[in-house]
Amino acid sequence: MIIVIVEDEPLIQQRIQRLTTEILIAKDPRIICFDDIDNAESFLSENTIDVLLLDLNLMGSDGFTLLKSNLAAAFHTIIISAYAEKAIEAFEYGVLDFIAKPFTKERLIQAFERLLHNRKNEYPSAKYLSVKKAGEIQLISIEDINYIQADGHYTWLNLSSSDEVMPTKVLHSKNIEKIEQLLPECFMRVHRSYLVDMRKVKSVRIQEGSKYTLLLNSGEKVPVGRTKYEQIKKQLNGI
Amino acid sequence: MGKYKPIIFLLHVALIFFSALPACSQNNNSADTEYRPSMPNNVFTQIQIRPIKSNESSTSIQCHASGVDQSDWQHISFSELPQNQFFCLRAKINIHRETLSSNPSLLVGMLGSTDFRWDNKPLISNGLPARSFIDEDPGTIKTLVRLSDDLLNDGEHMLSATISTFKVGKELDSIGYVLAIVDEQKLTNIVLFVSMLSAFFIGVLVILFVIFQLVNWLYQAEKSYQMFSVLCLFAALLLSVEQAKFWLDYPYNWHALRLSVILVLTFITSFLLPMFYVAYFRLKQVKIWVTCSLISLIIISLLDLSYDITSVVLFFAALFWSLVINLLQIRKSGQGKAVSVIILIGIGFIIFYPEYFVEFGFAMFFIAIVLTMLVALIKEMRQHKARSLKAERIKTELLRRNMQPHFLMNCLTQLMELIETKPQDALVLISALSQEFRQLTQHNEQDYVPLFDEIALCKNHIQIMSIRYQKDYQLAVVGEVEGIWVPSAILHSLVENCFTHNKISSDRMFELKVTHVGKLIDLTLITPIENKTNHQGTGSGNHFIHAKLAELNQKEAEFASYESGDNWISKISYVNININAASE
Repeated sequence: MIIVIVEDEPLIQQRIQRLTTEILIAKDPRIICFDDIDNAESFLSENTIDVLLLDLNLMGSDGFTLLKSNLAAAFHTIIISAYAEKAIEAFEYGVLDFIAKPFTKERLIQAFERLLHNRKNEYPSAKYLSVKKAGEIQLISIEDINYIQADGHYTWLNLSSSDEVMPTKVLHSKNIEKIEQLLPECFMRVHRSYLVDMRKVKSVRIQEGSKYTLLLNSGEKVPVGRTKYEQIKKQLNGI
Repeated sequence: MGKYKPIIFLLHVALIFFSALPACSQNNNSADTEYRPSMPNNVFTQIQIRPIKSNESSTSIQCHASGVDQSDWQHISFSELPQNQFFCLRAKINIHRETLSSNPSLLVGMLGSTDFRWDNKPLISNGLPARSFIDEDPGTIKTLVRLSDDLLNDGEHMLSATISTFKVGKELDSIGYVLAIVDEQKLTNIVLFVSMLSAFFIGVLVILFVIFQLVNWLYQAEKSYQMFSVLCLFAALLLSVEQAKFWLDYPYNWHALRLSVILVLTFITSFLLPMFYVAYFRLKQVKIWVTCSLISLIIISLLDLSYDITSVVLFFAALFWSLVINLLQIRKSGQGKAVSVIILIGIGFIIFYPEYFVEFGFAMFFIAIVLTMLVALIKEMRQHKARSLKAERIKTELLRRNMQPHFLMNCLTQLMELIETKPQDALVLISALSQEFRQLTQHNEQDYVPLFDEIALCKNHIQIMSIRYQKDYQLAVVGEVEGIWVPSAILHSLVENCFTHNKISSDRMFELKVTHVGKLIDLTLITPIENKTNHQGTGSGNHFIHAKLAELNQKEAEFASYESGDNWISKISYVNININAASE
């Protein structure tokens, strides 16, 4: 498991590194530390990692710009910051967790558990997903996403936006499990490869060979996994 | 635009006022219209006087008889009445009933004791005219008597009077102001209107006087408030004495005294007007301005001009100096434009209509000036309020700024780590932190602290940062520190700011250069930063320093902060203020 820590204060860096090693000892952690974001960025652009533990001065606009570019990447980002008041905003942009300084080992364990067990959390869910397109970071509002389709290690975000600038399909670097973790309750994994915003479902249809399909308000059709049908029906009736 | 509304309103009032003027002046000047052939009716023509010598009486010279020998009678206009004389006056009038006003009354405004007759019938006496100063019983300045219908047959009539003018008291340009037949009702209305208007203005001025005294004593002592208040008081006094002639029927021997009082009040008001602007703009060359305006006013007073002209010229000088001050201020800070325009209007008014200016313009114009002052003062009060609110905010912000949550939280994180790994080092950090808190709290209560103490605070902060970054940061001070005071916490704020926004190199030292020229102190803080630094400044640190300098009224202070090579340089220059010396 490859973990990157960005923290400019040596003692705090040491603390994060020490505790992370202790917690993830079973996962054979490989930890790389940077004391500024520039060096880290160049490393991240050439290497695949599992999680980024980032200390960012989020007070200026620069901090969030840097954060958004990391959130477009395939790995999850956990913020460790003294600027606790920025937590909600950070969650909205799709960080997996926000650890306020000073922090204990227990708090770090909690964050890693969430990372490892793909657990949805009690924190505010994301309002936007960052995508990197032609070197630029674009923010996509969760509200605009009809459904999400897995494509290997990537995902396709299918949008309802009629905006011509924004195509109706956008590729995201995170896999569907990671994306699911960040999304609000209304998104449901209806299929191994599909996540759907249930608010946008019109009806369920049974097709030949007892295959089920969801018909969305937009007219799009999304396949439903066999095991998921009962659950979906319940939820749709509930709504 | 809203702030000029009162002035616009005032101009309206002025317009109404001046439209009422012709009615007045027609009456006033009717004595002068004797030579106008187009209006021969109902005005006095051929005003003649003849002194009554000691061996004569009014009867012996047939003062009140018509058609007698007129060879030793002298033709004059009413404004040329002689002073210190006992004389007989007669004037002819051609009554034409159809064109006569509805309530015809005789209006006499002059300085003298009179005994008037109409066609040789007793009409009205005002005081007791006599041959000598001692015997004369002074009449009032104004006589108004209703002319009954039987006196006013169509045709020529004669008005005659014995008059003595021994008690004027001072050589005046003119002692005869008005002799006319007027509409009593109209006159009463005009007098009432003028009286109410001036009473209103006087009331306003007195209220302003009281308000600004209260403001000065109870809210905020300011020279300009005091000056404004006193100016209002004197203007109110001047206006009351000036307008007294309308509602106070005083004996004519008081008139010279009243004119003197007006002159003195005009002198004081004319002096206070430019002085208000000196105080308001906080000009430094107070003595020069006082000398200039006083000398010019004294010279004008010594010129031995008539009362009216002296008043006008005095006020002209006051306006001149006020205009100079305001124009200089426009160049300096852009303030004073509206005032300058009004003053220019006023000066134009004085030049083109000096006679109206004395009667009415002065009050109107003065009120206009006072209103601009009021607007300016209220603006200043608002600024003052904003400043004091800001000062409060800065005080509470100071600790927060220099002990920012992120600083505290990062330190606490360090402490957690140290406690778990190197408890001994944790103790060092705790001591340094508590030291910083203590010093900041102390500094927070003072505007200025000795530079020595501020440097100690910075060194302590640098020590904390050394522990945090596990590096050996040092601060070197170049220059004399003794006797220099510094706005509290600004150096600390600079150092703190550098750590927040830059990656600091420990290869070189922080350097603080202290230089001073006279009272001006220059502090230059050179912070060694690493080459590849992304400056993430939000500017709040700089904002704090600007605000702090503004709060301390350091008007000539300068602050600049820039990157130069691999250094971040902050320069502050300000006036050294030694608190101990200042409070002594």
